[in-house]
Amino acid sequence: MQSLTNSQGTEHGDQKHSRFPITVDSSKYVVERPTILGSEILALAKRQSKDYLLTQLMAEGPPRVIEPDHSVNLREPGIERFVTLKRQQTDGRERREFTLPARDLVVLAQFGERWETVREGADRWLRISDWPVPCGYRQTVVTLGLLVPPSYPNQGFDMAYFDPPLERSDGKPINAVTPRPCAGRSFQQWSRHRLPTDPWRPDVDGVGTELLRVTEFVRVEVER
Amino acid sequence: MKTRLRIAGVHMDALRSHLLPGDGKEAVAFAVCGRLGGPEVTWLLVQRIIPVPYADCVIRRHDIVTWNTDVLVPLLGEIRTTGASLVKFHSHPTDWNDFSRSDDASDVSVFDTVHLWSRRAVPHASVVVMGNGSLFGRTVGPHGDFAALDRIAVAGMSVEFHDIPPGSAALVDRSTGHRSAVPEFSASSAQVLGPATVALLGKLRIGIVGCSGTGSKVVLELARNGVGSLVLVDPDVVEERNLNRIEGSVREDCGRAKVDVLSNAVARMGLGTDVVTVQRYLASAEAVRTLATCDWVFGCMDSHDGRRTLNRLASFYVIPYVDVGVSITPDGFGSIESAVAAAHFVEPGGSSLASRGAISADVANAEALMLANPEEYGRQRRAGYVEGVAGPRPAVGPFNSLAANLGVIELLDRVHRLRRTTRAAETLRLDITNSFILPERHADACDALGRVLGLGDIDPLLDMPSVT
Repeated sequence: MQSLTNSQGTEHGDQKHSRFPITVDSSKYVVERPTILGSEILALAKRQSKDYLLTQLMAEGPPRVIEPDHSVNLREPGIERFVTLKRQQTDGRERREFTLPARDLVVLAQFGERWETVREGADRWLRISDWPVPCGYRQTVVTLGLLVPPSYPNQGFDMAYFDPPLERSDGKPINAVTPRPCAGRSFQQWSRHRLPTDPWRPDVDGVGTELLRVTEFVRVEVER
Repeated sequence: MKTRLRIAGVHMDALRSHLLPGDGKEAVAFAVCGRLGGPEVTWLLVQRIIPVPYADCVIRRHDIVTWNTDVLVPLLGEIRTTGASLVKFHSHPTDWNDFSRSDDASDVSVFDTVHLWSRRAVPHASVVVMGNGSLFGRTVGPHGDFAALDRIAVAGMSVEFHDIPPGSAALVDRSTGHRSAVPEFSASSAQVLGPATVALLGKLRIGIVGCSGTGSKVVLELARNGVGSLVLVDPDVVEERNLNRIEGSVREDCGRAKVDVLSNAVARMGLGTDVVTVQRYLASAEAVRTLATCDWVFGCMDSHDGRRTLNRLASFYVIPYVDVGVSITPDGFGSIESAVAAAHFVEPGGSSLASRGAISADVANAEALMLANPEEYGRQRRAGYVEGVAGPRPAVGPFNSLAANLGVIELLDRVHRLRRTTRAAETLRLDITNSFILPERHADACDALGRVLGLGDIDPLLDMPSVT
């Protein structure tokens, strides 16, 4: 249980009733003054009004929405139970418009639902959201796109695409990058090709080895 | 539901050397298998062999083997996870041509356990390898019920089709008598190949990918030889410039699908060959699924990408593959600098067209890109990332015929089981310009395609997202 100390004086009420137990979601709190703002109740549950609505359960009828600046009178008889509601929900799954080989799906499982396979025109894209960027860049996570060639896995991935574009922390320009528009967004295309010493091996290489290669060439770029 | 088994030559060699080591005693081995499913037939496709070491056999005699089942335990876990099928092999060195009572008891017991470990209704089988080279087998169901395998095909340097159910392996003399009569139109062939081979051709299903100059000749030659059924794959229509070489085509066929033109030509022969036509590119689900059911495939394509895909299909589904083609370099003055007709015999699990250097991955990639995404291909070509892909190629009918016939002869040669004193060559090159035939051997197996041997039906098909 937590207490809210008397930091914002509004009403100086009855000193005899100075402990008001309330419940927010499934946790109990004790409020030590008779009135409390909606935003303060949200703060008890460590939520912000920009992200969450606050509702009060009533004895009869539907829950009442409590605005952040509304002052709730805890001396009024009633159920002092409050429930928070996230303002925005996202439903629907990431798109899976074509199937990758099973061993690639095993690797992609580490990203949970945060990857998609999309057909755009004649292109097949694998896009991974929240790909972790190595140190040395202003961005920490970006969307990584890989173009899946028509004869994959006989032919392998080539180049990598980032949105938003990666920027070095020291502000220096990055070698061999060009913007590539795709599906209304602009991806930053890195021309990094495999050398004859590191050829694509069908049925051995896949998304797993390619993610390692991409991480490596992004990391190496800031060491120049 | 009928069940058949396909084994690559390299696996059959390993089985024979383990099961018939020459000491006259029985032995046991297992195989993990992928599958090809169909409405009437299921095929089991050997992926790898796990021999039961002789040291694990408590008793080994000419008529009985008692073996410890420890070697089976890790396999049970594997098939539970992957859903693979398991085939048990054991030998009858004395040529006993049926399952014995102890074979029955052992199969019922072992496969009871195997079925309990399989997650869902998955077929498993038991096969006997006889000392004289014959094979027979049966599926063993979860209730100890047996059903004979109606074909065991071995795709090695010789291609074998064992269609004999348990108990009936009468030793048939292939050169003279045979129980079934051959049709009159095949009588002349039977005088050379023997009635058994002629009868076998009538029970084969053969796929031909690429039905143009070379493919059309293969199709019609096979039909005239009484092949049971043909699968024709080609997306294109006949154009005027094809009329110099598409066998069976007439001027009015311009604009018609090549596979339909050939299907009609075969039907007109009236010799009984069934034809299935697939007017799609090879890298399509319909073509892949239909070709997978074939006992043999011919590749008659110009493109490296098509041949690479067909080689991949043949490895996935353990099918012998003959690739034929002509390579012509005109000299620009109305003659040829070189013209070479080639026939490649590709056994699954052996060397591949890629490992022989007959196709190039870069050319194949460029072709695939040009087909799937011409704009991107154009961009990459201008940027120097890919080479230019050849346009319509020069072609001369008789050269195509040479290549086609080399290919059909490969088929006849390898199923007829001619005795050979030396290992047959994998590639035959007929240099038309310089008038010689050059056989080539390719001993080293292809590692890349070795990894996909026997995988069968998976999602995506051929493990390629673009096959839809």
